[in-house]
Amino acid sequence: MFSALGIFLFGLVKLQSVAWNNNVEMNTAQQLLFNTRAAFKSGITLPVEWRIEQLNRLLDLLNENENALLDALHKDLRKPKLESIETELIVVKNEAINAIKNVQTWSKPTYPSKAFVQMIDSVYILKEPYGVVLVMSAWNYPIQIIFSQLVGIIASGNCAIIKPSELSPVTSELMSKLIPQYLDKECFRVYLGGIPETTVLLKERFDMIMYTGSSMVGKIVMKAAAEHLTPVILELGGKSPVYVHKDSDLKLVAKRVVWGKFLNLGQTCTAPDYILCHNNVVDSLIDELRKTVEEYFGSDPKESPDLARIVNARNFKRIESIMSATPKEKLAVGGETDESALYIAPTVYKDIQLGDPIMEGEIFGPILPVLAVNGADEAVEIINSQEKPLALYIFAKSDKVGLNFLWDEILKMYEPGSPWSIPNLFEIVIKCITFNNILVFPYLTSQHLLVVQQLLSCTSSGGVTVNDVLMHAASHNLPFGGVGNSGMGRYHGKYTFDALTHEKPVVYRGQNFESLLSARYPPYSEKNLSMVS
Amino acid sequence: MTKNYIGVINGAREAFATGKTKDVKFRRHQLEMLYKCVRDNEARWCGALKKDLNKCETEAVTAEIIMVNNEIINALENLDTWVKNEAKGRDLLNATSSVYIRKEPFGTCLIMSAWNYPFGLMLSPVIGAIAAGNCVVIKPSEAATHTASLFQELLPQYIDSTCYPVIVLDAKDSADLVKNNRFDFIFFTGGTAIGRHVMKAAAEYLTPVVLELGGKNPCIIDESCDLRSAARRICWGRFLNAGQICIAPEYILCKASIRDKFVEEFKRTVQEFFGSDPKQSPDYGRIINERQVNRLKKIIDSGTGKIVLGGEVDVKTKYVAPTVVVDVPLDSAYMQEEMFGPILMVITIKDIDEAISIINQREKPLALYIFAKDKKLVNKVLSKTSSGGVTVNDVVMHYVPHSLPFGGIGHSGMGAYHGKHTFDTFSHNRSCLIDGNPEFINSLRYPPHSQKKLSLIKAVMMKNLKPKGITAFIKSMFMLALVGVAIAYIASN
Repeated sequence: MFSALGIFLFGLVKLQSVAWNNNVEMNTAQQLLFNTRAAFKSGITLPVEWRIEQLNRLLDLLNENENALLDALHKDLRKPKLESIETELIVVKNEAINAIKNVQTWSKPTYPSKAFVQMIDSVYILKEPYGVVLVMSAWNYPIQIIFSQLVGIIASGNCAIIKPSELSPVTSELMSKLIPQYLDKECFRVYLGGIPETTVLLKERFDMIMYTGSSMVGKIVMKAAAEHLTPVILELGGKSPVYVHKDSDLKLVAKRVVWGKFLNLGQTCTAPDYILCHNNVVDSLIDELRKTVEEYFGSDPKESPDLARIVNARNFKRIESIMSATPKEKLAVGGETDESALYIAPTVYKDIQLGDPIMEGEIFGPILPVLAVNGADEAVEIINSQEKPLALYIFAKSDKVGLNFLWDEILKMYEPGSPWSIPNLFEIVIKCITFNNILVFPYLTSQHLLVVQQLLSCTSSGGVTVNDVLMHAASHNLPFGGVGNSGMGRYHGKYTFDALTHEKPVVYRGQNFESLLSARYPPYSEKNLSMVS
Repeated sequence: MTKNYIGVINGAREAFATGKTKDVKFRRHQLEMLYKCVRDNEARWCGALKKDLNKCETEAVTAEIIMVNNEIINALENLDTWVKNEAKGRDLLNATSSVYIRKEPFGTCLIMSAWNYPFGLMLSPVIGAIAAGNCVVIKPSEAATHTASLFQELLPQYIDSTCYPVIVLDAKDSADLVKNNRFDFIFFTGGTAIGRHVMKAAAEYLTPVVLELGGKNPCIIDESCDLRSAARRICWGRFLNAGQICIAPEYILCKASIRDKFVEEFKRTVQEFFGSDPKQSPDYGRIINERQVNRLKKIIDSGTGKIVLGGEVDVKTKYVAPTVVVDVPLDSAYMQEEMFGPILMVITIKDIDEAISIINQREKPLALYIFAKDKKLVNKVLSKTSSGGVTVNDVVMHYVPHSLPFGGIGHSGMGAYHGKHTFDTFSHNRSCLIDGNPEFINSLRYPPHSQKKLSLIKAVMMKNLKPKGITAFIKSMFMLALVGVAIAYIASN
């Protein structure tokens, strides 16, 4: 994402004039949009049956080309097979299946409640596609991002121009070949290109733009969209914090954080960026992190087949410069780099302070700074001193789990002297296992809930996972998106459909009861006023 | 006063950081105070609207005060439901987790309003923003002078002036306001050109925006409809607030066969509503300022089209007569920008397809109106055109119910509000997941990877289009067993 930003800015300043004068390029972008819009205007995307058929073809694309897609991901990012399947292919397939099952329901008009004065009218909301959507995707999950957005685009009846990232060239090339093979050639078109081509494309008028990438480029995209008053969905990044409370099960914290952090070698927008750890446990946490890295990737992670690589030399240099700006004595785990292989070892830094260079921007690489804090209060303060992150992770979980715990809680909450009764007991159980009306399985104690509650209510972030990482983004029942600098608009599952659908309200009345309306017509009198009121 | 708005904004930001607006009791109290502010001073609000737009009491009460009043009542009645966490379904992957959405405020919002309904358009988004727990910088339109100063005088007496400050700025300072200050959300009602500037300025800070803009709203009249009621309804909607209303029907599309009949009915209705000299009618509004009158005068003087009713302009008293123009060419001055004045254009079409193509050639309007008995024709127009909203056989009515989202599309705006939609617009839906997975399920995804782990992951995570064979059988057996248990339980009681 960051590399895209640099070149993009450079492109805007330097190459703009070249691109504008390049008539051939301009014609390509305009022609492409013109043809796609013509396809949309023909109304071919409106029948739900057509949409379901396209979604089925998308599933075919994924099923029949699984190996080719996995290969491409391996070539671009050396993504391990299990990772590719788990975080890219399965996610998209589930999205597509979910859409196929539900698109019929989603696209039906809804009938909201009516005001008294509209009892005789029929009032409903039509689901109308916007038109041509521009999808500008990132290179870190090149398949998942494009296809899961495409599922929503197809389901909602829009057409799309898809701009895969030029930084994952093999995957992008493959997609530009596969998409026209399987999907409707007129409605879904792939546009390949780097910065100058993208700059040209952004000058055109779309009906909606979905951009995934960095905050800096996000601003450029939104400004370009403002020119045409095009709505935007921006999925950006941010420094997502992890707070580890004092009596957390550290082994479990390490296992989950190390997995989430070094997935795709740290190049995940929802990856934990830094850890805020309670003073008392920071040393044991670092020990656990070290042990877990070894357990996962062996004593020499470079040899592990389960670790991806940095996308390109530019990003490698950026991460390396953060590492060289951090003093050696703060290094706790890893630290090795190899530019020729674009490899950076899973690295953990301890004793990091808020002003350090590593705490400045989104890291987007396999280095994990650990900051010691006094408790939840200080953690909240640090989190709020930064831009709003895409995700927040909270670990507050005792290693004592299960029904024993529930039993303890019941005894604690039960007032001595009051008679035991079934409804009473029932109420207490409910109290123990619910949290703000939401059922919580009995893994959290009330003290832990207070910590979670405090972090939730005093901070802001795109999403939150408690006692794990990334999982809120994996559920398509939850909307995924950022807030503030981490983006605007949300998608996944039905939310993608909603984001790409204009809700057109319709009030349909008859012409019969004209006399009833006469109260609203001039000439006005006191009688009119009282009737209307 | 204009320059110290930075201090005011910082004050609101600090107030938000203390978290006091997140307290639902606080929000409720503020809404109740706002309600009082509206009800206690009804006469003064009406007076200000009279001075600004010569708005008669009935119009002021129906279109502005009742609107706001009902929005507040609706918010107060439903606040407890709206702020609740929203539980979401689970997958097999997170079957034992808690999955829900928290409704959180964005922070400090800026709400900028228009002058045509200076009271209603200002307060109805403010209500939702307060209900959602935001701090709000309230910026009424400076063009509606009297209403703006009444806001400045009255609001601080009722609602918290640190959390909800009122600022009034001229055009230049307003541009600086959005350019130089970072807000967490911007809500803008006004013209398309300024909307574009607002969004560009917001892009600099990645601030989400809702733009409520205008547009030229078409009105199709089919020969199957009752022309008399159509004329009455259109006449009411077109000349409400002297035509200065963003959802007014702007141009009529009808066949030549009914055009003259419609125009006759329309003329008769104008006579009925406003008398033979509308200038004397107490129920007919005035244009907001001379600049706007001159803009309308220039259009009328352009000479294209045939004026069949009205056409008089009096710059001094800011009066423009109810005007109807026929034979308007599509490229004439009448058909360029949003009219925002009491002028109705009539365009003759050959058939409904021509009407649809005229609508689709232009920018997407904020509203579309159809008068027809023929349901097929209505549905055809609905599915082949796009607009912010639609009312069939009447005008303006899709604006009224709280349950309908009101907003534009394309050049008529983005984002929607009214009722709960306003609350949703001003709320960040924060996805939360409290993990409850046993570690052995999680450990499948940890490296070192193996073929066995991969197949287990596929089994746990991957959905199937249709459960096949043995899975379907087991599932159905399981459901049957559940039903059996339920029956046994009921029977035993």
